[in-house]
Amino acid sequence: MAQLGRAILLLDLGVCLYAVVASIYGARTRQSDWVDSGRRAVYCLAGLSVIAFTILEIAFIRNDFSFKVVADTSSTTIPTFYKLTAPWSSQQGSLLLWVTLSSLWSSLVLFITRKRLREIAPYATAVLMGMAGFFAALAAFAANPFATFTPALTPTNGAGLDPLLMHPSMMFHPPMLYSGYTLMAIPFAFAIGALITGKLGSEWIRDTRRFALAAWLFLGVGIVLGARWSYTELGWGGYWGWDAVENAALMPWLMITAFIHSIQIQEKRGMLKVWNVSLVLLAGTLAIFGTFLVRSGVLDSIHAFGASTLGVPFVILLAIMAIGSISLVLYRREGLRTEHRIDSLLSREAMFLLQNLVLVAMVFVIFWITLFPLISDAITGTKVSVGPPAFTPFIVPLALILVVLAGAGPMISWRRATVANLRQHFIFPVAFAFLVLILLLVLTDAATKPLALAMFTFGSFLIASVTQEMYRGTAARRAMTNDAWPVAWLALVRRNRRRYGGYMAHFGLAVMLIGVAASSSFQHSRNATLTPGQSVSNDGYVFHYVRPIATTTAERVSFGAVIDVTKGGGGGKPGQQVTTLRTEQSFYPSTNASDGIIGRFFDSSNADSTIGLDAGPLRDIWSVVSANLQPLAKDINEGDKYFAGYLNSLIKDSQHMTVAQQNAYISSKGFWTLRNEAVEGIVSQYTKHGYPVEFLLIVAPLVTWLWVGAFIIALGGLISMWPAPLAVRRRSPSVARSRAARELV
Amino acid sequence: MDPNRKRAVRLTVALTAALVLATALVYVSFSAGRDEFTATQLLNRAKPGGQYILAGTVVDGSVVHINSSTMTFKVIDPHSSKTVAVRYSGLVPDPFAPGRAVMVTVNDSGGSFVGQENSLTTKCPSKYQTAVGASD
Repeated sequence: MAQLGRAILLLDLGVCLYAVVASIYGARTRQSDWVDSGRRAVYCLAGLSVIAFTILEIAFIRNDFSFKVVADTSSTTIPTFYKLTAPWSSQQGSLLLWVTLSSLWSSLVLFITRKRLREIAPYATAVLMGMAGFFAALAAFAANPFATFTPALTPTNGAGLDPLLMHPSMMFHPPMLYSGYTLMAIPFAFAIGALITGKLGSEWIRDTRRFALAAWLFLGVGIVLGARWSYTELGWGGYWGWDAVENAALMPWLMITAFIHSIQIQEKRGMLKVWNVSLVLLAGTLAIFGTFLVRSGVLDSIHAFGASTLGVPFVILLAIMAIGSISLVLYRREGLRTEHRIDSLLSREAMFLLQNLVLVAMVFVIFWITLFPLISDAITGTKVSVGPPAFTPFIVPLALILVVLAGAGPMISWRRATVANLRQHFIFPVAFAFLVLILLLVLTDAATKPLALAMFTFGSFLIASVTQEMYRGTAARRAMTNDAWPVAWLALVRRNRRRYGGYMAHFGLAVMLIGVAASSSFQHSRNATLTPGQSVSNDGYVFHYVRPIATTTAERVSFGAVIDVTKGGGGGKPGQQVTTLRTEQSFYPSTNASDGIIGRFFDSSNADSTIGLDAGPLRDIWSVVSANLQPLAKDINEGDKYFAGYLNSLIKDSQHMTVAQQNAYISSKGFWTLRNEAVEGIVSQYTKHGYPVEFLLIVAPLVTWLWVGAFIIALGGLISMWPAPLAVRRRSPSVARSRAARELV
Repeated sequence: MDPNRKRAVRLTVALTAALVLATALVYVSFSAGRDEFTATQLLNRAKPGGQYILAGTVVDGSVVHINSSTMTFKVIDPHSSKTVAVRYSGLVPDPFAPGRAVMVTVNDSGGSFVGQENSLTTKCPSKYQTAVGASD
């Protein structure tokens, strides 16, 4: 199987090269047979890559440890679900996943556009296959997923998957990110095609708009799933740490967000051509740049991607993309001249442009701060880390402006807004925002955090503006059809998915950013060392450490705590029960013999935390325990010595036997049963004695709305992407149209 | 206003805004940044009272738990044999272990280094390690 996989990888590379040559040759000589052949080669690549990836998945499911990557990242004891996700936890498997997804998305776009964009598509095919070929070459020569051990060296079991990666979101988070990155290549490739051919109209944008939206959607969902994984698995209580790898995904997402907004101006008014093409080229380059950051180990990050040798090839690819893009834009600068100019700063075009500038400024800030250790090292010889606090003074004000623009943009007319237009649309949202501001100032302590207060106010403005637009549209629809409100609203959204999907995404953005502002500004976090029976308070909640818990299974030993959370009380009165939390730290046996026969079960380098979480609409109560194994160290050391001696004596007694007989003899003497009993005995000490343990306890408001907002954004994106019904079905009788117009006046 | 003049004004405003942002960014980066040192650099350059980020690898056998919330460990410069001992209290990330790459914010308290609470970050070890011992 491994040989077949290796052969397919080489074949992949050949197919990519053929597709590049055939497409360019066909385009240059205007021979459509060659162009069609190049396109079919992409379909062929997709088929081959799916087969190769299936082979790898089968190797994981069958525990085929002759595959090096299976031995490194899987074992017989991990659940089948995580065996399926293990391929993309390795460099090798993730590169193959990249090639597979890239070829599938490329096939889809080339199939859809097979009868359109006849001049641009061959060059886009060449670019897409050039990039796929790059990743296929890396997989074939630098990080081969089909590398194998010789039969004599094949281990009987694997090292296992890192416990931190055994989380349900790992099934979806990496494929979503990779889908986002690979989809980002599609508008990039068609932009290059448009620049090469000089076909700089809006056709290529119209035909690849859904792919840009899909890239935005997948990358966004991937980022949020990563944040959720961080919140529930990493045991630090946060969902976003401005880590280099997080930023690597955020930058192209922000850039493609700018692009999917600004292309509307090009489609409607033929403006911002050079800006749009630059945005999409930058987004594509940033996607590869993010991959470079992830895999080169050039920056220190909580994600470990060091020990990788892929930095240089990525730098070369990035240089080609950047130099090629800049050269083509300069070469075509005449053709990219705008057909119209912005008439007024109070126009929708100006709002779009301002919003674009804010998004690009955000990317610039993130890029600068993320790379600052490298920049400072180059200038001063010392790496200087700026860290997460440096992002706040830049990103928060920019986000506030973005929220205002997201609310104002859809309410302002194209070309030039009149005072009447502004009065008609702005009164309700502005009044609502003021009302929220006053209520917050009077009823809460939000004034202590001005930036958060501003976000609540501006977010309310955005929510009100979207609600108003939805209401107006639905009212107009009702005027035409006399449908019930929900039916009219659904019909409205269904018939103008792009517009109302976008509004929904704006609504979700407001909800999400309100959740982010509240949970980050008003979070109460506390470290506490407690023994059973002790309590500590945090933000008005009392955390009572009820009892320790400990469990032993074949896969792990776990030590944890039961915490009762109450509120109120005092003066001899018991508080009101809020929730009971269970948090654990689990230790997975190490495969390192030097850790000892008993000690390997208590290996802190193979640990993961299970948080105790009570999530609610108003606040999350979050806890994690750091197990205290220090008091068990003496028993563990003595156990190691005893069992090492016992094992040696059994080996001595059975030295005349074969290895298999020797194993059977050791088992027959009850060695393993005794060892398991010893482990259980040590584990039980933990619950008997109730040692002091360290907790991190967090109370954070409105975290749930972050996830709800993200879901609404994704739903809005999905609605925007979905093909609209046939234009003919949108037609309405003139009588109904005039009635709707009267209704709106 | 003359359209050309209007465009020039807009361009000037936009460029000024960009310049202000860039200047603020450079200023904040250099003024608020903390030096990120290896063990060797920390030993050579740290001054009492200073705060630094120490990056390196946890030395085998150096982790000693003093109590349930405090421990000491040594961090080695990957490019030399110099080590720095750190006393640390607070949350310990799950992947923390000897041999792993870590970053921790430390204060120089006159010859010894005390880690800032909850500032210890550890690289996740599972991803993308170079294959060892494979035969193609």
